[in-house]
Amino acid sequence: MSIKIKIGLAVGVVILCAGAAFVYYQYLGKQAEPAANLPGISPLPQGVSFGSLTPSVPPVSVDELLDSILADSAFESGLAEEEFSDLNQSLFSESQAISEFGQSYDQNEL
Amino acid sequence: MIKMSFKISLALILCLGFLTFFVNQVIFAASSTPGFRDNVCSRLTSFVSKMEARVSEREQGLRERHQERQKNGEGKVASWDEKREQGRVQAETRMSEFFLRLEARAGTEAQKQAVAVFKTAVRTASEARKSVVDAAITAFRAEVERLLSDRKSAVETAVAGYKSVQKSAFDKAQSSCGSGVDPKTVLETLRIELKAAKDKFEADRRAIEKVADQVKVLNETKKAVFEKAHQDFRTALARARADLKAAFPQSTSTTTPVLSPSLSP
Repeated sequence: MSIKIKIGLAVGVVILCAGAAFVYYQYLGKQAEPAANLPGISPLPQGVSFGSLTPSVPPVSVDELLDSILADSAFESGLAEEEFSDLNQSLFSESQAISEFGQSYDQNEL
Repeated sequence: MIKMSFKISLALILCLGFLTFFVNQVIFAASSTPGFRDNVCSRLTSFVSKMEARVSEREQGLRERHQERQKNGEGKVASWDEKREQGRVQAETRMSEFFLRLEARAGTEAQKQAVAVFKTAVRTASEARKSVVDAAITAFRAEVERLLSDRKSAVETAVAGYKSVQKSAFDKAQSSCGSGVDPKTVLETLRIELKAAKDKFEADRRAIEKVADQVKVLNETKKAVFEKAHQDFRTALARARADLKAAFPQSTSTTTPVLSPSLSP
C-alpha cells in the first residue's frame, strides 16, 4: 500500500471519528434538559423570571430538604406575582380601549 | 464664487419651502372650518354617520378587550393553580421520600422520636403556610372580581351616557337645520354639546381608572401576607431543624440523610 493511501486512510478515519463525536455530543446535549423543565409544567413566559420549581433531584441532607421546601414557597410567590402582572397588563389594554372611545369625537372635525 | 452661489440657492430653496408650507396651512385653515360652517346642515348627515360608525367600532373594541381579558384570565388562573398544585405534589413526594430515609437512619428511640417530631413540625408548618397562601389568593381574586365587575358596569354606564348625549346633540342639530336655524348657531351648539359629552366621559374614565390602583393595593396586601407566611415558615423550619440536629451526630456519609451546619438564607 503506498504511503499516500495510508495517509489518506488515516485522515479519513480521523474525520469519521470527529464527526461521530460531534453527533454524539449533540445528542447528549439534547438529552441533558435543565432540571427545572419538569414534565407537565410549562416554563414561565419569556422575560418573566420568578424563580423555578426545585429540581427533582432528591435532597441528601436536611438542609437541602428545607431549602427545597423554601424554594417551593418562593416559587408560589412568583406564580402569584405572575398572575398580578398578567392582570395588570389586561387592565392596561382595556384602559387603552376606554381612552380611545373617549377620543371618538375630535372637535377639529367640526 | 460657486460656493456662495450654492449657499444662496440653498437658502432660497429652504425659504420657498417654508413659505409654501405656511401658505398652505393658512389656506387650509381658512377654507376647511368656514366651509363646514357654511355647509353644516348639508354635511351633517355624513358627519353623524361617520361619528356613529366610529363610536360603534370603538365600543365593539372595548367589548372585545373585556371579553379577551375574561377568557384569557380564566384559562391562566386554572394554569397557575395547576402549577401550584403540581409543585406541592412534588414537594410532598420529595419530603416523604426523605423522611423514609431519615427514619431508616434513626438508630435509637430518642432519634426515632426526634425524626417523628421533625416530620410533624415540617408538615404542620407546611400546611399552615399553604392555608395562609391559599386564603390570601382566594381573598385577592374575590376582591379583584368585585372591582372588575364594578368597573365593567361603570364603563357601560359611561359609554351609554356618551352615546345618549351624542345622539341627542345630533338629533337637535338635524332638527335645527330642518327648522332653518342659522348654520353657525347649529354648529356652535353641536360643538358645545359634543365637547360636554366628551368631557363627561373623560371624568367618568378617570374615576374608572382608579380600579387599577385599587388592584395594586390588593396585590401589595397579598404580597405582605405571602411574605409573612414565608417568614413564619422559615422560622418554624429552622426550629425543627435545630431540634433534629440535637438528636443526630454529624455524618460524612453521602448515601444517608445528613444534617448540614446551617440553613441557606
